[in-house]
Amino acid sequence: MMSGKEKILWGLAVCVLVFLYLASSTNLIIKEKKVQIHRVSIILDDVNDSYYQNFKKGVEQAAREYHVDTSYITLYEEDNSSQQIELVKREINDQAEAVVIVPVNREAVEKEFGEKKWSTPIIAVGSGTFGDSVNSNIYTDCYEAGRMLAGEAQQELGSEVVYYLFAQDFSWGNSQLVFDGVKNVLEEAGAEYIVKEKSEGQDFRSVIESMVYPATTQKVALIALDRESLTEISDIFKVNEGYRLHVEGVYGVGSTTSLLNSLESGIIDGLITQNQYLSGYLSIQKAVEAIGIPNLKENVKLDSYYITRENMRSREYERMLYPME
Amino acid sequence: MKQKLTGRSIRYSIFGYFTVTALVMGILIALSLNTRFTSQLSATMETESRSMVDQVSRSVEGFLRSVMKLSDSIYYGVIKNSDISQESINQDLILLYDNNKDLVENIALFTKDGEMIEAVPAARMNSYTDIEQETWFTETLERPEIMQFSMPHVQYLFEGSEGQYKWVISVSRAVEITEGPFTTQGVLLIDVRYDSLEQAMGEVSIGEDGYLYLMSGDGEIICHPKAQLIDAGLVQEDNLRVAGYQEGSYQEKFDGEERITTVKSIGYTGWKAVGVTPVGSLTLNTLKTRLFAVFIVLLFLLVLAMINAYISSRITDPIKELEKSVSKLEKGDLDTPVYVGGSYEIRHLGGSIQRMALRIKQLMRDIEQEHESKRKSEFDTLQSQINPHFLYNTLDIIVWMIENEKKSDAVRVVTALARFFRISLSKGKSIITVKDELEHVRNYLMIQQMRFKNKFTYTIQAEDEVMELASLKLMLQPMVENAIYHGMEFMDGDGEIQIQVWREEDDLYLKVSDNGLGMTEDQVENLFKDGSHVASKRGSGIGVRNVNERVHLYFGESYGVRIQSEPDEGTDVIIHLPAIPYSEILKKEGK
Repeated sequence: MMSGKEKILWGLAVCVLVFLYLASSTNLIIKEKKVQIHRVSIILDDVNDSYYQNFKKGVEQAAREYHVDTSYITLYEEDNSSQQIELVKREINDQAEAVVIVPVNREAVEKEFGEKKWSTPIIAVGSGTFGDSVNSNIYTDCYEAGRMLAGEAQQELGSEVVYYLFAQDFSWGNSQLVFDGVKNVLEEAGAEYIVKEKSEGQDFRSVIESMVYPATTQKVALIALDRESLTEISDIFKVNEGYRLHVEGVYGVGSTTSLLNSLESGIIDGLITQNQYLSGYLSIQKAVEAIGIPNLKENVKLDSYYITRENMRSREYERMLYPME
Repeated sequence: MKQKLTGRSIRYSIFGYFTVTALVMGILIALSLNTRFTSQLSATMETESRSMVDQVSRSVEGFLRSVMKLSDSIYYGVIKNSDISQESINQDLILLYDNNKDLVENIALFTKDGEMIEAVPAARMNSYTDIEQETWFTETLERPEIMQFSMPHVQYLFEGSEGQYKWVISVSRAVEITEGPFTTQGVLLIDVRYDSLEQAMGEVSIGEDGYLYLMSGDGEIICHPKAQLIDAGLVQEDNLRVAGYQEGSYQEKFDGEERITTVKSIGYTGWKAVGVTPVGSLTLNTLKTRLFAVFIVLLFLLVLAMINAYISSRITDPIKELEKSVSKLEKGDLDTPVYVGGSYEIRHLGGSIQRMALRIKQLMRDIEQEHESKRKSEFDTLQSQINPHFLYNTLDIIVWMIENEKKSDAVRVVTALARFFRISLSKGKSIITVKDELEHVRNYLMIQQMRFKNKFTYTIQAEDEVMELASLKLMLQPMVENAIYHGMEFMDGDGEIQIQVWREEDDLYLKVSDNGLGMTEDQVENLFKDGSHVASKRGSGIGVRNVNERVHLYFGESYGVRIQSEPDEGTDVIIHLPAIPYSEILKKEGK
């Protein structure tokens, strides 16, 4: 006959075995990691995604790796910050597991978000960092980018040149920050600069034509503070190749394929860019991390690079500027 | 371990040894199986990895052969057979291009001065490109005997659509161009689509976490599933180190992870196909697998433990039962049945113990009987030491009384004598009531008083409650005899003998006091000693020792006779007995 103690021990042994069996051979205790597909909405700051080809390639790579179903949402109206915020709310209500936002207007978004705690993780991509309302910031120091850009231009051209600074609208995007950086360098160097803001009624073509006609000995250089302005300027010079001869240098921000072609052809002398592929990849990576750990707060700063015709084909930059599918 | 099991039940010892052995064996088996299985799995995965890498290498080589074949077709089938000063090779090139559209992005023919002769599909060269400065152009002319394969790059020679770019691998060779009577050197360029190389490699994965990539002979990555992330610095790859490896499989550690790297060289180009398989995916070290291994070992152990427990029970239970029986025997219960069961040895042992117990019982019975009979015999012997002189003297008195016409006194004496002897005999009983013992001594005293012409007086005091208590036969009479013969012998008529009997709780006391000569301590001591006694002509003098020994024999050493005496002060002889009702003695004797 077994004593009570022995019965208890045998019973315990059987219980341990049953537990081990359930833990090792069933999903009752240790659940096998099921591949979960996450829904992530990406809200861009433009009416189309033409400037986001490289960004999208990074998003696609991350989406494959992290099993994410992405959807891109563009604005119905250009530069409409409140519309963008409405889109954020709509996506959250639509059960998106995370939202990636490229803010139209940083101040407006910051004001709207405040310190609000969203039920859905939000990843911000762009310039600067937001507060606690955002889980992650994938950001660029646009001020430093501006400084780098102006610094390179200054180094190449010196201070005798008058720098024309072109921007669409300082009230949205990162133009203001870039401008602050550029201005800082130019002022330090004692260089003259003239600001041309399209939203203030400035027509870029007219401005450029004014450098050509009437002929002048004044040396000028152009610095575009945003990609739209740089694209516009580049297009003007493509159509009117002769105008380019009257400009000492063209510099700007942005690296679309078209801009890179312009850089290679000599229309643009140098541009500042970031790794858009990496930006897209990280936005999804951080979104998935935030879905798993809602309290996770993490910021990633992307470096800025100065690209010229000479270095654009280098091993270091070619794949960054022209990401593979 | 040994110390811990010493003194423990044999069942636990058997169970412990077997279970520990089983556990050790189980763990050893599990570990060796795990190691063996893991190494088998590892070898299998290595073989599979090698096979995948070989397959991909063959596929890439096939791809390269296709490109080279196309290049040969263009050169030998078109360029060499044509005089470009007379005819255009455009149609032939278009034909070849169309047949290889999936493979080729551009085909172009240049003079050694960098001037473009033909290009398909038709495209303008970028105005800013100086062919003569291009590395692929100069190297091709420098080494005309081999075909040059460039690293993947974005096609930049020809104008393309504004927002698009193509990754290509440029394949160039030096060609001889016939231009009228002259033969000049030129360069044939074929821009192979990079995605066609990717297709040739296929979406290969080795196991769950393994992958395959292509690199140049000096370690530059050509095609990698995470090329973009490597360039961005998010992912690390040790391609530069692997570039130095010969063909084969290598186990190495990179970025904290053990991995198997398989390298295969690809012909024509010096490229290498590299297969990477993390070792972690080859082992059974997932949590669930480990738990399963622990489960199997414990299950095996449990089954063995159950078998052990059953076997050890079968062995030890009969021993335990036998042990219980022996414990009872040890405690004195010789009537307890001894367990006889189990294996042959235990049965034999049990039987032996049973016979031994019976034998012991028999011996004890014999000893007891012997002891009893010895005791009885001693007792009877002691009892028979009572003096016969009393009878003679009493009969003398009776005769004198009859002769002197004192019939009534004679009757009284005869009656007393008869009563005296009746009680003395008491049908052979050794224990009588206190009442009978007092009657006995009363008769004796009466006779002796008459004999000694009232030389003394006597009183007998006894409470009613002591009358029916048990007393040894012939206890008081010897004491009174001593009092008369040793105490009164030299007294003149003032002798007093008092007999008192009383009870104190569980003790019975019978006291014979006299006011005679008394004794010294030595004399008192000598009364109890064996052999040394003061003999008297009229008395045996051994009554005290006799009574004392009889009391010890029957009632135990804690009872007996004590004497208090002082010379000239008289003597008190106190007999201490247990206060046992006479009826209890009768019950004990089975009456």
